[in-house]
Amino acid sequence: MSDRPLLRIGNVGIAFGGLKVLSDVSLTLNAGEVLGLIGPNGAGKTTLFNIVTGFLRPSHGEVVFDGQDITHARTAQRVRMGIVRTFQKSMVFPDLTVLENLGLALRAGDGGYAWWGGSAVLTRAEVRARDILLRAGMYDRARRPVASLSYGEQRIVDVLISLATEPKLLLLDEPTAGLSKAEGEHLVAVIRALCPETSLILVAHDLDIVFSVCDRVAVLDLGRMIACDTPAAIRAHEGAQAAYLGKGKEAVQ
Amino acid sequence: MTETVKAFDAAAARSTQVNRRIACVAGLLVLAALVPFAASDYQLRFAAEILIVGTAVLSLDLLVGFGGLVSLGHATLFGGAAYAAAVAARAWGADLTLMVGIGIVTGMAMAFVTGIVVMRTIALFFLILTLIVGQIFWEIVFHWRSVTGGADGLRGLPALELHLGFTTLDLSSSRALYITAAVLAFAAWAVARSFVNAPAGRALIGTRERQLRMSALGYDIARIRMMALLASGAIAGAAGALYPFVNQYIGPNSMHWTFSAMMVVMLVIGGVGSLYGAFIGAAICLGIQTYISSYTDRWQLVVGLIFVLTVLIMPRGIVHGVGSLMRGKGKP
Repeated sequence: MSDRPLLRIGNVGIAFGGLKVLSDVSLTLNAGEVLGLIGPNGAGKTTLFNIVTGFLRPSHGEVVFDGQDITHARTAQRVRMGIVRTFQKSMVFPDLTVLENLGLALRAGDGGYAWWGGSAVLTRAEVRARDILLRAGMYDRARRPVASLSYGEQRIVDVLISLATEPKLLLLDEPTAGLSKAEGEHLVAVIRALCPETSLILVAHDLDIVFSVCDRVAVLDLGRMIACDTPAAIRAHEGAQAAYLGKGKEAVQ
Repeated sequence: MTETVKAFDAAAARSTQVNRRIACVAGLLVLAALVPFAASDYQLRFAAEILIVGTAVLSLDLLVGFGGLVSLGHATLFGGAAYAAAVAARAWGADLTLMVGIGIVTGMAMAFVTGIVVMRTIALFFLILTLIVGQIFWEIVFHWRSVTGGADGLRGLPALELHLGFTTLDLSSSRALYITAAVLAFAAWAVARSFVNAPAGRALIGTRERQLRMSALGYDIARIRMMALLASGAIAGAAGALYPFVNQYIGPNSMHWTFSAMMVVMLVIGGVGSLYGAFIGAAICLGIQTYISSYTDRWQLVVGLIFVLTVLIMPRGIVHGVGSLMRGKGKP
């Protein structure tokens, strides 16, 4: 881990009409770090993702990535710099094959708009896609339409699409939602195996997964950051328990 | 072990599928080549019209079938190119290369103008905006009497010919017109196919299925849509350039939104997203229009019934539907 943070969010706030969704949220993330982001529904987790990835512009505050101010950069620019996200809802391309799904991601920055002479681009992307599937243990699914896979496999493909772009920072919005505990753990293992260098911000409701894989955990409540510390410290943090865990200590253990 | 067997089966199924496709294309080409020997002059002109309109519907399939963008302004690109070709023919003579060139440029230019207005919209807004832009173009043509002939349209075009440098071919006969239209249709199909299979076409499918994901991956959605519109406009324009020579006439109806709507109907009947279906749909609708309208004015009712039946029973188009019925699979 280097001393310079990979991502720095400074005093970010956003309001929709009169509704303050985020107020004065500050956060730093080091290279290679895994940060958990928890908080009750409506706490502003997805809004924070939208601000980091450029789907929303904050009303005030700044976002700095890799030493560059990206507060007003477009999504495409941020993807080129290495910030990629997944969505709460599965966002696979259901009618396309697994290979084509990855191909779309791999070509995004490399000949994705080619019309003539595109076969070299297609071949290059397919070779890389096959390599990713091999490492993710899904090689035999390559030619299947994604819609024909199990839900758990679709969630993996969903994450692989984002991983294929080799991001420096990957924001995962509830990747384990709807998965069994074993499937969730398998998904996290696949992510770590494929890109050990990538920094992750992980939103999940499954606290077991958050506490076991994250270096630090940030707690959002009603648009405010109420704590950001190691998993052990968050477990003991009273404000965090009141806001999110709610039911006293037994919910955490 | 079983996985390997399955993989082999899948590969074998794919290659028989490919072989069958090649056989299909070859069969159609032979059939198309035989038509001039069997058909009358009138029938040949009618076949040429089907191929030309079918090519325009094929270009619409790029937007509807692959981009999920239903346009009600497609006839504008087709008819606009037809007018441009007709006006140019009266001024400089009707050389085929010049006509197709002017058609492609006009089609792309009009697609570009449409694109600037509509490329950030989808669904209903796309539909309405293409309709409005199309009708603005139609109004211009309808009222610009000195150039376009207004409501009367343009007649009295010079004979279509092809200058080859050393010789000049006369393409004004029905047979020559049919062959020209067939070559155009095949070329347009090949271009459209290469577009869909290229990265640009794949990206277009991506925007149809998951627009948000495509932007999250860094794709410029507006750019992809604009490319599809330009490709579609080029093909529609090339087809439009030949259209005035079918009946030696071009009128404002060829640009009207009702013709755009008829193109969508043809596409749905023939099969959205199949490319070849455009020609089937054009043949069915123009056939009904031409042959049934001599018995009754209500030919549109027949088209409407076929449209409704297709949507209800064969949502992937008449060829696919009849094919799976014959294979006994019932609904696709």
